[in-house]
Amino acid sequence: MAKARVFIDTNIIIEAFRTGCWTAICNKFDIETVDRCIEEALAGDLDEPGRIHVDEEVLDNGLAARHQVSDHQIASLVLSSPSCHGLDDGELHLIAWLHAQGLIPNAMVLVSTADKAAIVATGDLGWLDSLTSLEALAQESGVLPRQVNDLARHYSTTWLDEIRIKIRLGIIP
Amino acid sequence: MFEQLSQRLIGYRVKAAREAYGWTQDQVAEALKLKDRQSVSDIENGKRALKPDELVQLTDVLEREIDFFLDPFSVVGEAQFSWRASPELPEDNLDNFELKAGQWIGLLRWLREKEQGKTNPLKHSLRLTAQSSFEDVIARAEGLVESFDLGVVPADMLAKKIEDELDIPVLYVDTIETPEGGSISGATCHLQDMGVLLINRNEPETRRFFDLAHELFHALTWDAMKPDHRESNSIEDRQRGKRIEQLANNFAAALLMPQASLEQLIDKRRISDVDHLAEIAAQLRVAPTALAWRLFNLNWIGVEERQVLIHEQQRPSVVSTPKRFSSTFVNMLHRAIDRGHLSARKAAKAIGANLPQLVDLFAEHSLPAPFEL
Repeated sequence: MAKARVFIDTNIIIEAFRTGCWTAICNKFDIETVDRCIEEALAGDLDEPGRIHVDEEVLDNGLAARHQVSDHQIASLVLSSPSCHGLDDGELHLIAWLHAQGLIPNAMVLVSTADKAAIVATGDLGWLDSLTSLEALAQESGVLPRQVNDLARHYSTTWLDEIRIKIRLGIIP
Repeated sequence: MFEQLSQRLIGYRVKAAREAYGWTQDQVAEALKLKDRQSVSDIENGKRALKPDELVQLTDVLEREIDFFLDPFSVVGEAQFSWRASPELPEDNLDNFELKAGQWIGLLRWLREKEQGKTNPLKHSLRLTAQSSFEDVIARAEGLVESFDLGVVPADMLAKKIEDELDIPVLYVDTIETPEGGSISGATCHLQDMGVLLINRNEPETRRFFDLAHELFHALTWDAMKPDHRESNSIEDRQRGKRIEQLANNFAAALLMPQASLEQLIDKRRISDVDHLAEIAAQLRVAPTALAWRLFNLNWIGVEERQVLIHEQQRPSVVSTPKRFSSTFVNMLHRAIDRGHLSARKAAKAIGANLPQLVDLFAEHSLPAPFEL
């Protein structure tokens, strides 16, 4: 059976490396992302304490695909979706690429992000049901409970569900 | 509204990029295969939306990154600054700081638009012209003290009244200092939609209040008396500066030291008592020098007393350093992240910080982090 395609942003990559579940989720799913998320994950924030080292080779080996995002794709998204103006580059590029492909919400594609603004933006695009948490991916991949429990709160299914409900009820944005 | 505004902002940037490239509207029209230069004019004026492929073509022909046109916080092509900086500060340092300040102001405008959904159609201005006399300026300043009910010590409530009554944001910021003594005291930033005052929060309080009142004059007279891009922040230079700067100084002096306050606070029997006058200066949050010039101009003291007061030691400050930016700005930033309008990392970049530093900024304003680290 073909693996499900899952598109992930910078934060998900870094947290998957921090908790040691990267390889497991890549074995279970076809993990894809865009170049900018890879650049951000590899660079990290040099001034940030507790910076996570992401091994480039391990990252590359795990990915089913990485995508280049064109200026046209970015322009198409930003000019048509004001809710994307407040996104950081990695999330913006990821959503721009997906927006250009027109895969979501019809195809069986999942998107994983722990950025509230990115979740709001995907809501505006009608993609809320295509979102999944890193916790759900890790559990599906058979990651050890210890690793799942180690995930920060905003990578949990509970947190994602809370945000989705708030969006659906119009509490945010 | 927000979409329309974006279109207008992109238009400003197209114009800025075209002019920097040295092209006419006709040349751009030809490169984009548009009907005529009127189409380019409409794009620059925000009347016509750019299509994605046109925008990409523009990045090629004008040799700009796509971010130049799409950055929501950019004020390129529209913001005009007037800086109070020391003569020792190299122009490059000021230019670099202006880019940084532009991001803060662009972010502030974006946050205001997100919350208010529209820009304030009204703008306040002082009834003054370049031909106004010093007496006119002083009368306007004292009138403002009365109409804003600023009380005996106007400095105390000035920033709040400027924000609340005039809708002019005041940002207290960390500026730059060079080893050679170059520094920035403050600036007025003029945009079509709003004016913003930037104040160096690390300056002594008397300087801060004087800068605030001085910059307010520029913000309220921008159309009638546009200030230069850069003026000296040295008190000595200010005394002999251009007329607009002298008018601004007189305005600031009268705003912070209205005659009614001086009459109430100063014991005329002790008008030659330097200790007494220095105490009054401290109460009014002004430097002894500023009070000396104000009293001299009112003919309350002579040259000799003025000189003695000018050299009097300033009393210790009673007000702590203002928190970074402003409570209004940081609260709006907090809400934007909390409600999912803005990525925390993008917000951090715009204010020149990383995520832990952004958390520190919120803590400084007694706010919990609106995101998880």
